[in-house]
Amino acid sequence: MNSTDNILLEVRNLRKYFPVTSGIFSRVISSVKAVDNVSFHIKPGETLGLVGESGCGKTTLSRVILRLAEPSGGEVYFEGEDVFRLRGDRLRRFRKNVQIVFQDPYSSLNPRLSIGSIIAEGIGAHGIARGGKKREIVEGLLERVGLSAGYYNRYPHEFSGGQRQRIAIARALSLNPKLIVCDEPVSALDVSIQAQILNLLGELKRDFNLSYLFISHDLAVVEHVSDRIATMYMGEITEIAGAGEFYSRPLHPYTIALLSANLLPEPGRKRRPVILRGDVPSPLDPPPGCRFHTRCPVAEDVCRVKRPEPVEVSGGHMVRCHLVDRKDPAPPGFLADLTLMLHKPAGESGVKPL
Amino acid sequence: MRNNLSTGETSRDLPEEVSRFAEAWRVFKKNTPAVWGLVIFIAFFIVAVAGWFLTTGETPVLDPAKVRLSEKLLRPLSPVNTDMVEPGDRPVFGIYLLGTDDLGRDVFARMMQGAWVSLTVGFVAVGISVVIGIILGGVAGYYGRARIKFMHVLCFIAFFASMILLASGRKEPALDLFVTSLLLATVSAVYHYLAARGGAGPRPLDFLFFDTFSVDTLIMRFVDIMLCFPSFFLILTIVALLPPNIYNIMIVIGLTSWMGTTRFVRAEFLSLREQDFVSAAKALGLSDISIIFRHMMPNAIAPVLVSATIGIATAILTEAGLSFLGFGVPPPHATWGNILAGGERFIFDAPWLMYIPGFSILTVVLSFNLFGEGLRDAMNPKLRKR
Ligand SMILES: Nc1ncnc2c1ncn2[C@@H]1O[C@H](COP(=O)(O)OP(=O)(O)O)[C@@H](O)[C@H]1O
Ligand code: SF4
Repeated sequence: MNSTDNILLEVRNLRKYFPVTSGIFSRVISSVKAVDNVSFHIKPGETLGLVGESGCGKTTLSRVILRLAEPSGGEVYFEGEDVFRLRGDRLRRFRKNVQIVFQDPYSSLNPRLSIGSIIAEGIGAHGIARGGKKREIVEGLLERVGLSAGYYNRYPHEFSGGQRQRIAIARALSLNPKLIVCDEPVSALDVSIQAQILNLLGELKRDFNLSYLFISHDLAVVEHVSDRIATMYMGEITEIAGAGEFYSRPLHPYTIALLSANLLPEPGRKRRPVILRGDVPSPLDPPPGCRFHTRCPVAEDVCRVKRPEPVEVSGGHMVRCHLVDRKDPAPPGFLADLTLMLHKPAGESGVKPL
Repeated sequence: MRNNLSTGETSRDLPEEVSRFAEAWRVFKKNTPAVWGLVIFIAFFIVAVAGWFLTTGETPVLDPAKVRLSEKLLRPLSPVNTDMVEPGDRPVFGIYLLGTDDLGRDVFARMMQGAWVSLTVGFVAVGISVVIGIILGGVAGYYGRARIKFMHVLCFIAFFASMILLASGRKEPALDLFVTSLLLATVSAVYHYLAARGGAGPRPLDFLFFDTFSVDTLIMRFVDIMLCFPSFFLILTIVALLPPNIYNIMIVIGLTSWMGTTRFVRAEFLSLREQDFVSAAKALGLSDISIIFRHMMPNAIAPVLVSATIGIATAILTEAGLSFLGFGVPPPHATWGNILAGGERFIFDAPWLMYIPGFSILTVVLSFNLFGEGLRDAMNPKLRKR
């Protein structure tokens, strides 16, 4: 990455392999490379969108960054500190600074605890406030996320999905964190409620000076919230670029395929065929060479044998593809005309950008 | 327009507050056999507690041990023969409600005492098994993936061997082994202290600290071993070795019936551990203790309580079986099992001596089972809202 100063979260060559065992002695016969050599960074106040089909390792990545799962290798730095070596007080401080909002608002709230105690829990555990003061903070948070302070003693099962997600957001906010990992925060919600939650996240970002790692399988959702966007395929980051560049000059065939699949049919123009065919190969048996070559419309011979390395085409725009040459940053082959068609200003529809 | 969208959804008020208890009760009410089970459960509880008050003390109201040789094998509801029996020895109301046995003892008084014995045996035995089951199952479910180091296995074996030697009365080798185990424990404590402070890299004695099997393997294979023995024969064997008294019976039944609960709690913990709210609690920086006791245990306990209800019935049945075979609570104490055993010889002359305890056991065990199953249905969220 370009500069190390003023970086909130830096992920370097992060790997998470799940061993596949067999037999009574649990012999390891192979491994699922859920996250493989992932590197990126997030600056303070920035939102990084992470897009990929389900099963590409997005959730695993977020769990490893939060130290909810052990990494197999690589490093994560938060404000310059090596996260995997934190212990005791420093680990507690990291916990306070980095929070998560999960996809499923039904399993992310303990059904046996009242809303108030769910939100108050972290405040108590970190000794931020107690008694009446704690309750005051919680009621303030409830109102800030658009719920009534009177819901303090209600239980999660009385709330709708959108309201539960607001509660989960209030819980994440309770420790006044610097970074919130949003793991598909709106995927489980109705479309009408998705926009409300996205807008809420945008307001909170401004008010609390937050950074987000915003994970989604849906480009349309990521589009409106992100300053920079990364795509992920079978555990690898395939392309990272600033949001403007990502839409105006996508270079990786996978990115282009995702974008074309997301295009709304425009009047007067034939709907473009979706160029992404077939299924993601089994993660147990990833294809040799470029992981994407089984589905890539412009794959060449070299792709089947040699792994492409990440290439930085311009400031902060990284692509992992053989066909992208550093000197000629034009999209590969016939995809060029498709990308021409994709040219459109970001933030056109639906929700305003954060 | 967009800004008020973010609060628009919540202006609608929540429906009426419905507690989980009211919800469960609504489902439970519809299950008639379960309601009957509950009624008999409560009635049995009252009878048993009353039995304890009425049959203990210096001059109990109902004396289950009073022998009246003139009043042998009387039918239920027979009046007392006032010529032969001293006023102080007469049953209350001057009538043998449930008849007398071969020694002229009041069967009603004996049944009341037996109810109390059954109740305590059932609750204490199940209490023991639930506590063991929750602890072992919780450890297996939460910490199960941790692997035990070779050194710790050595340490444990040395300690256990020394305890066995001590129990068999060989003090000298027991002491040697005990000191060895303490030594090993000190070495591993120092090793772990250094490991925690120093960075990565090899250390001396690393070869003694390789990983062996996991905690989960240890506990669950032990469960499998315990389940291999037919539990009734396991109990019979242990009871044959121990002095027969009511406390030993409770403990033995408890110690041989925790395996189901362990499996249950482990399975619950394994699935709860993957739930997002547990991950969220970890991300908030809560301690293991509060994650286990605030977030996991309350969600795992309801099904355990249901199986405990059925466990009480099984324990009562086991105690009755043991008493029937003569291995149970010894004679001066009446239990339903030994009343049944005592009546067996008079099955043609005094059939009530078998029918009364037999039907009581049947009713109580059946009602506990029905109640437990109704409870399970009521707690099952999938059956709600119907
Ligand atoms: N606990 C686990 N054990 C084995 N494999 C796992 C485990 N968790 C995830 N995986 C595998 O890792 C890959 C990535 O999963 P995940 O991170 O959940 O993807 P996403 O969040 O993008 O849908 C999948 O192929 C999945 O099968
Ligand atoms: S390296 Fe080859 S297969 Fe992989 S994305 Fe680029 S063109 Fe397609």
